[in-house]
Amino acid sequence: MAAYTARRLLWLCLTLLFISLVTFVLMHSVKGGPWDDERSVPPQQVENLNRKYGLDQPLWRQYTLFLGNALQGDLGLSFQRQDRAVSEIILSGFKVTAVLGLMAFALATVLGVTLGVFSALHRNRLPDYGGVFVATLGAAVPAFVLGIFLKSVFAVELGWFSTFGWDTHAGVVSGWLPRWDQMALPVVTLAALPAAYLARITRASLLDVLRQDYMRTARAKGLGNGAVLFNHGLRNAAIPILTLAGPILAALVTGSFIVEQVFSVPGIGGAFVKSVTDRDYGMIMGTTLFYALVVVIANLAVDISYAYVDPRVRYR
Amino acid sequence: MEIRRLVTARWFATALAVLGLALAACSGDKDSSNSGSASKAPPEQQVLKLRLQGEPKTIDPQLSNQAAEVTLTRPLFAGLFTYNEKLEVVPNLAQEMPSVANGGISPDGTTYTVKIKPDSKWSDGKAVTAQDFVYSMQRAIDPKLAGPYASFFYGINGAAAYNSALGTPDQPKTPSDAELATLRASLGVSAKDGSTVVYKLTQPNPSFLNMLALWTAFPVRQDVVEKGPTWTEAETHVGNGPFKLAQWSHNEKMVLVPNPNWAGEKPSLQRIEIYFIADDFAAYQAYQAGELDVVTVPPAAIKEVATPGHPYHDQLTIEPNLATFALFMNNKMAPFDNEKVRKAFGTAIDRKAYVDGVLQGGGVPATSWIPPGMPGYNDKLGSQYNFDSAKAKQLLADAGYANGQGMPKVTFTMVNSDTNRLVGQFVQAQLKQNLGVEVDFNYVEGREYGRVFTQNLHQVTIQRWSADWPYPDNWLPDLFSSGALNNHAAYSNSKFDGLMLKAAAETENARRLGLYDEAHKLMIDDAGIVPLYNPVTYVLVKPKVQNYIITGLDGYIKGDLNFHKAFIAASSN
Repeated sequence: MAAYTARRLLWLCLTLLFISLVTFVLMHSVKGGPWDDERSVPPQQVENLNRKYGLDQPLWRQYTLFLGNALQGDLGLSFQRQDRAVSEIILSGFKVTAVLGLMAFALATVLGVTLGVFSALHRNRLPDYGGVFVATLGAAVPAFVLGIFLKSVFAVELGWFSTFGWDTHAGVVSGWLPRWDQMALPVVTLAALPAAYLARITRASLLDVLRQDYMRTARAKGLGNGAVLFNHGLRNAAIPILTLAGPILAALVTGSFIVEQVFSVPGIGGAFVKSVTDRDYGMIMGTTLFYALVVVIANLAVDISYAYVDPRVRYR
Repeated sequence: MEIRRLVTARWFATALAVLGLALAACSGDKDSSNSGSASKAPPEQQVLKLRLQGEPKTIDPQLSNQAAEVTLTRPLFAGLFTYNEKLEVVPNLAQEMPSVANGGISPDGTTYTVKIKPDSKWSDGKAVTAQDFVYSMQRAIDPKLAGPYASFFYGINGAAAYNSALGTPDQPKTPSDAELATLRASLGVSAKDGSTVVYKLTQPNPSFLNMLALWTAFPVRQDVVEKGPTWTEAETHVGNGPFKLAQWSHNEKMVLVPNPNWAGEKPSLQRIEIYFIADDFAAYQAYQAGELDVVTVPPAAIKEVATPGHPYHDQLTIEPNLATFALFMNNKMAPFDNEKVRKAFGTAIDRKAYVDGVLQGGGVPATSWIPPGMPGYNDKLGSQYNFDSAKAKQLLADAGYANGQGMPKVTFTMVNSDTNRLVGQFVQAQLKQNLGVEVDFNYVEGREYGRVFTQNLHQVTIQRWSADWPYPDNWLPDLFSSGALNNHAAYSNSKFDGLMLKAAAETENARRLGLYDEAHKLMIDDAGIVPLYNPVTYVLVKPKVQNYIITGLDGYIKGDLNFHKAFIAASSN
């Protein structure tokens, strides 16, 4: 087991190294550099900027310098943010994105599973059609449409919620969660799609379980409806739901660019997109590697847990 | 892919805007002159909520150049000079306007001596000294700081040499620290005494006071700056403007409060909250919901808001920007190396349809380059380019390309944006219909556009120029002199070059303006560029916000030059 983990960790390092090299090469081969603007500046000012950010060095030297610093946890400075450290910008943005994602995940799970169970128990009757309709709607309506719609109705017209922002200074949990009126709409918007998926998979899975022989047995031995549903039905139906929940959670905590844009939530999505259009080299390298690290670690965790469950994996 | 989805989002936003406007029509607020005659609300209600389109790169005056950055330097710092509502330079921290008569300007026009008002203080209570201005100007030019506006101050003795000390990308230099220190010390800015700054120029420059009114010339304090690049955070920031920075939550908002040590007119506003909202329509919705007090109207909503009777109509200010959009046709590239082709293209576009249809009223047709509202404006220039399809076709035929026959392929290079795509469709249709010419549009990313445009690799584009200061020397010499840095129409006329040299040496204002006007006319008549329109901004201001003054020189947040004059009116009920 230890050897397997060590082997995987080595691969992780190589993967990150490879990704950093590809990103670096792509970034420098795109036309238009960080100082290209509609207004010309004299060549000496270009040289001053190149010197300040080390872009006067040959590319291989820039890359090895980056690697050396990155190994010590220093991802360099942002060109576009008053020389703030890239790592600091990424972490503060990721914190917001991850919190938003976790809230949405919790809401999606509760909503989706409830709706799915409800539909399954009323199979092919009006409540089921209602549930399926809501779930289909949630899956079909894009986040920006839902977001703008919710905002227009509940924030602009009714005034129940704030139209924008994520102020954690005066929030529900200081430093982590904003006020309810700022949090509600983005969380609901982001939760809609995964909730719909979870509702559909829960319904299908539970319907399948309800047909099983052991369910009939449970009823036959005189168990009540609640006990049958929770102890035997849901527990067995949970396996496919959990399988889906993993990737959903990963997707939610890393990406919600559209929702962040619609509600002006200061997450990492906007920072990443802007870094590319600005040719903010430090930020591009930093955010790409950060995303890669998150994905690679998630995969590693899954693989290692498989290996734990299934010994055959360890020897391959 | 992402772009397409966003475009759809815009479209949907437009539909919702119309819906929202219809709903808003049922519940509009009344009365608003914003004239400043109302009585003031108590201090705790003196809160103004504004919007910026994102986290500003910096608020450091010597590192600022974007409108979003400039807009913040103005409440937080104060220079020797500023602009009044008529956009004339007036003293801010300076005791008086320097002139030859009062000894502020030497008879040869190359030395400016400025005395600082004695009660000028930093937000932490220390006095603003002449040495602060000396340090700040040295910093603006410092090659290691790499400030974006350094070259604007090359007219100061030794500035070009100091800023160029590291050489160019083709010929880098590695000066020693001692050499750099010598260059810095020999810069033509010094403190005659604790409160007198002296600037020495290489040649007379009547616009120098305009340059001292630029944000780049605002003072910063050495001991504060030397704490490191994070000195601009709220915890460590020290400024000398009417407001000071109380909070900067990155990516989210900024809060300004009055600077207790500000010696000028005391601000009434006790709190300015500036929220970072990327999307124009999201900001407009925030205004509708009462979460913002001032907002720029997104193009989709301009038509409705501008209709008399609309509930927001009374809250609307239409502000012409000191800016011009023009056809930049590369004078050195076929077919635009032919003057007649340039003239034909310039005459073939219906400007009124352009600003009304594509821009939804966001501009005023123009055929002269220097915009209205500043010295040098001449509305008679370029009238030959007023839309006339028959004339345009004739000009193209005269050029030897009747109906575009035999003409090299023409491609516009433009930044990829929703608006530019609409502009492209419109211009394509206009040129086809009015000139019989099929043109291509190549939409590229912003940085790539910058590279193509500044290296004159484009055949033709539609490009904007905005005033740094309101005088023709910001509009002509650097843009149209042969080989000048920003000459991206590649225009060249030795007579024009001669006029620029003469105008630069002329110190008498009327004669100087006359020379610029002559050159302006020459360049327009040559169709060096052909102007299309002057952009205008539609700004909504809540009726409770009074004395909110918007000028053509404002940065991203309209009103930034005069926040200290605005106040919240007491509610009438």
